[in-house]
Amino acid sequence: MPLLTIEKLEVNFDTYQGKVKAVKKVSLEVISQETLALIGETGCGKSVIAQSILRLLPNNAQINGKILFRDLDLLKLDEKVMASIRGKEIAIIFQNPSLALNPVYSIGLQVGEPFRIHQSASRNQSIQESIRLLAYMKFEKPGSAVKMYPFEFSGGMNQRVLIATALALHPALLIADEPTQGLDRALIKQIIKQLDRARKTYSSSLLLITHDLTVAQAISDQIAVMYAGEIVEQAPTADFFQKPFHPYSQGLLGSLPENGFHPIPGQSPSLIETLPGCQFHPRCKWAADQCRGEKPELLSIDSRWVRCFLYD
Amino acid sequence: MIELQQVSYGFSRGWPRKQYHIVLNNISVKLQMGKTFGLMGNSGTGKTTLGKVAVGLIRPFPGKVFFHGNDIFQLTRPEWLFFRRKVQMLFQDPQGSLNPKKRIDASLWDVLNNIQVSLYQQREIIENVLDIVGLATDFLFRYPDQLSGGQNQRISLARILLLKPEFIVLDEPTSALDISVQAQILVLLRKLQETHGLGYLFISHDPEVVKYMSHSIGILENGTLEIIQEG
Repeated sequence: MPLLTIEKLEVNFDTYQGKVKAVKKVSLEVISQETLALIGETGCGKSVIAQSILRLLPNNAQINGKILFRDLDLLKLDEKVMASIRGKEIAIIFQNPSLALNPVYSIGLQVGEPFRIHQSASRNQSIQESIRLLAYMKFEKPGSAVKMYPFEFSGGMNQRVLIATALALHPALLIADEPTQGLDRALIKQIIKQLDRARKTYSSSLLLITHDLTVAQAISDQIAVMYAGEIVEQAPTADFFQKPFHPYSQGLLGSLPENGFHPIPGQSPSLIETLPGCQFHPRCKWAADQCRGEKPELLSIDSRWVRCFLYD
Repeated sequence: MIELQQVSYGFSRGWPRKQYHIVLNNISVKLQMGKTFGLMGNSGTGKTTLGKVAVGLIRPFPGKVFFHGNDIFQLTRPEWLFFRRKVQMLFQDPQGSLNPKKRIDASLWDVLNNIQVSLYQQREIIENVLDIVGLATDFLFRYPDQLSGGQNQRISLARILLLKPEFIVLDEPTSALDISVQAQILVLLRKLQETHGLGYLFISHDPEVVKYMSHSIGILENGTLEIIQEG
């Protein structure tokens, strides 16, 4: 059963250079107690989707479409209701831990904030809860960690603090926006292991946004590939890594170290001027005249979806 | 060739009683031209510090750095300027290594003005170098924040190539980039090494990337360098 359904979501930003079409009619489903990984290059609109779910986008954003969370359309909700959902029902882990944490508040106060806001807990109670959460996140001395400040922790520890904050009220949906960016390989393994364990313990669903294919492969059930604001392929993770359908997905897997670093030629297109036809055609080795003129629709093949004329 | 001879370096930290923290302890290594030395290690082990010592940005204490047999800290001013031109460093954060207030063309002109290239030749040289790094000339009129991470990293590389270097210290050049862009930059770096005979000190914490790029590999741990592959 889908917990979150995104229907034809469109997000545009008005800028001095023109209208940036960051997300173009994206439809997605996050199934209850499953992990959906959203992968793609930087700037393809992954984080914009995450922020539009929680309605955290700036004022110059125009959002169209539907985001249904347990039959509630999040885009139409009152701001007060939305505030009661943020952190309690849907929680987000932001990509830069050192910027996402407040440098002047202690860790204990920050991890305990959801308890004070949503459950009217006292300061002491919230700190007790943060000690419990930090112990769950495998901090060696949670009692002294709550008194420390973000600058005293490494990037990996701050990331674990953010995960603990997001898990505080056992949210039904957890959104992790590049949780492993800028971390060492050893730390990445540790973080994804803890993220997956937390999701299972609290029976939450996870929307994992990443550009690291190895992270997506390790913990996701379904994978959706984004390119220039569109979903170009969606498939069960195991099938995707066995045989990617879309030429862009094939290119992504080809650039992995184990496949010999074969880069995709060219650059991703600007989101201001939309290309006619398929967005990937200037970089695609299979591009035909049809790709340059017509826009491919998402086609269903078995349990997968792909946006390419090769499978028409 | 760049040779680091018994190089040590440390930072003092703590207040009110300062403690001395040794990052590099008696390290000797030879970095060859036309070859890549891969340097691995966890965060905070001193990989970047070793890179900065090799380009002369920080002075080891004690220890010596030789460039083509000459101690770089004993060079005369013209020799020192020549050395700084020939040994360059490419940093991890592509956005942070370019001036956000300057257009890309101005960033490139700066380099050419510094080495006194005449205005008549500048346009042709810039077009050539952009062609080498695989960017179109319309990028010249943009600002760093209007380019992607991979494009900014190519511009930083173009700035370095304008100086016709012999050796480049690459400090995690792809760790902030996407996997597909990472492959593009690595392939470009290898191609440049083949065509221009450049030497690299390639710093990374990703073993797969280091293995792909390097002829010899060393691991930095607790201030000491252990060579695990000789090339």
